[in-house]
Amino acid sequence: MFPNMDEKTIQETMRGMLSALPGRELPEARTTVFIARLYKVSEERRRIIDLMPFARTRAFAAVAAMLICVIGYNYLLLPLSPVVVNATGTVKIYSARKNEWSFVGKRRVKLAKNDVVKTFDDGQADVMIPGIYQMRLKRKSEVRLARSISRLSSGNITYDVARGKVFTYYDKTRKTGREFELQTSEALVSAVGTDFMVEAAPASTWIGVLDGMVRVTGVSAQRLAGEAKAVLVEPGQKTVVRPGLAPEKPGRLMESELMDLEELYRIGTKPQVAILISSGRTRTRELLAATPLYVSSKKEGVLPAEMDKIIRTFNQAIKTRSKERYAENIRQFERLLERYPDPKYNVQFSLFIAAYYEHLGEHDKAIAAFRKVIEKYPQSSFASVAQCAIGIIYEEKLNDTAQAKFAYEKIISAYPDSPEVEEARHGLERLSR
Amino acid sequence: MQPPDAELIAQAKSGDKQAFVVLFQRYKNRIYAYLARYLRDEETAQDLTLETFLAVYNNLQSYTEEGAFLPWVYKIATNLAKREFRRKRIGEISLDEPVTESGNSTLGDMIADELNRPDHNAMKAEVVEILERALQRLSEKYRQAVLLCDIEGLTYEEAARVLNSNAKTVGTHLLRARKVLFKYLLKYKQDLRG
Repeated sequence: MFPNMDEKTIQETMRGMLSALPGRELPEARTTVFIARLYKVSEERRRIIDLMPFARTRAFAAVAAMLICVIGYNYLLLPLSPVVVNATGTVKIYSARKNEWSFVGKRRVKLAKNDVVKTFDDGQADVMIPGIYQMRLKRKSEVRLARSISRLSSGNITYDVARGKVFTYYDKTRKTGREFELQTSEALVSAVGTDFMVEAAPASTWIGVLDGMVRVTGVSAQRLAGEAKAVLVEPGQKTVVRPGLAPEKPGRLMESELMDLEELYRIGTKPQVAILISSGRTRTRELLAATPLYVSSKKEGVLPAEMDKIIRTFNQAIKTRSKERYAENIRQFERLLERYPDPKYNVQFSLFIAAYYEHLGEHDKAIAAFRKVIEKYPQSSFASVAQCAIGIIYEEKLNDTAQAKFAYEKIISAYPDSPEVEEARHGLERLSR
Repeated sequence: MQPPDAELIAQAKSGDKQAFVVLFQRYKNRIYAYLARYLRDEETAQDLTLETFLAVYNNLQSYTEEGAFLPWVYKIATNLAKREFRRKRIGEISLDEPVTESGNSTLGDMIADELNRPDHNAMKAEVVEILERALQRLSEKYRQAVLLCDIEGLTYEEAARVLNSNAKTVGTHLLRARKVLFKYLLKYKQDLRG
């Protein structure tokens, strides 16, 4: 029968036999291993996935670190390039690298070592590393960058002043171990403090200091005598260095010279309103001796136009010593101050008004005005000036010993770090005699 | 009641390993049996079964076919097995080779008896072994058709999807495979008589 089976039977028989074949079982050990592995695999996968951001972070960190290194190297170690800005008139720059002169114009020009900045008859330019120093070259001046610094280095910044007038503001407080030096043919001027002016004339070098302290060394004298002759020039003082001689003993700046130094306030970031007094111990007396008020005309809109006009009138009146004009203007000014209260400038204006009442001989009004300054601006560095002025007026003008003593003692107790302490001690000494 | 495949797959997709383990337990033996018969090597079949499920697990996110999970698993297993074939260059085995190691009995001898039995479910262990060996001697495409349709119970369409073929071809292969198997058995029967 077997060979004679029909097609259908054959198919059915075979299908039946095949489907009846027993199944198989995957050994239990393999199953267990697989399940364990499955859990482990998913752990690993998760770990890999978890690691991805870390890997990315690491790559990112590496790139960032490299960037920081490059930027840090450039930022901290490469020499800082001073820039020449605010050039007016004819100003030329000599590039030591290119060995050529070029006009500055309105551009901002970076200075490299040995580059020279030269101002002509009508020229003026500011040279600065913002935040470290600002220097103004007046007309017919020439300086060469002899040495610059990096942010990290503690070396000296040196300019050779060939000729002309250079105003300098140097922020000594920012970094110690750094010196700012101006070198003329006759003098080496090092900034121990901040605001000063150097004028290199063919025969001599004149140095005036408004703020801080400056060390002046006679260069040619040093060469001749083989020893350094240096003087320290304090705020409100000046000195002159002549060929072959040591610097002169510092003397007081004349009022006209102080007014010349007012230009320092126009450089860089100095306040736009300033009373032209030095920051030294003599400043109270400078204030009481009719000091001009300086208002920068550069920034338009800082002060109302009518206020600006009054200040000009004041300054004109000081120059011409016309007391009548003060009296008329001072009341106008007081009224204006009430209309434009600007905390940035009011302390200067208030001090100015008080000083002018005193100048007019109106001592009571002056004392009241100075008291107002102390009352309104107790945190200002001018508070001690106002207190000292009260003491001086009581002592010298009103002959009120008790009030004067009280005022001086208050300086010593309330402003022990101010330059006025010395003046107060002298005053107390005089009064106790 | 056992949760349906689709539900377990969805859970496994969302990271539930336990759900995948249930799927694995449900189908591991079928895949193993298929691979063992296909590869004719138990050890490799065990390895590839695990490898198959690992691949299934790793590619679960890309699985989108609704209700065709098992064919998809068979397909992965088949692909892995084919790779194994290429790697080991496993050839075909002739039906004429001796079945047992002693060589005094041939496949035909044993099957002849079995063909006359009406109840295939009670096949003798010996006969099962013979049929298994006969299967191993089928050519690859016939063997695949028999394994997937007759033994694993897939429809022609499902088998076609596994084999990257079409249902008609699979059907044709299956009919011919059964006939070839039958002819072998017939041949041995006649040999036995003769």
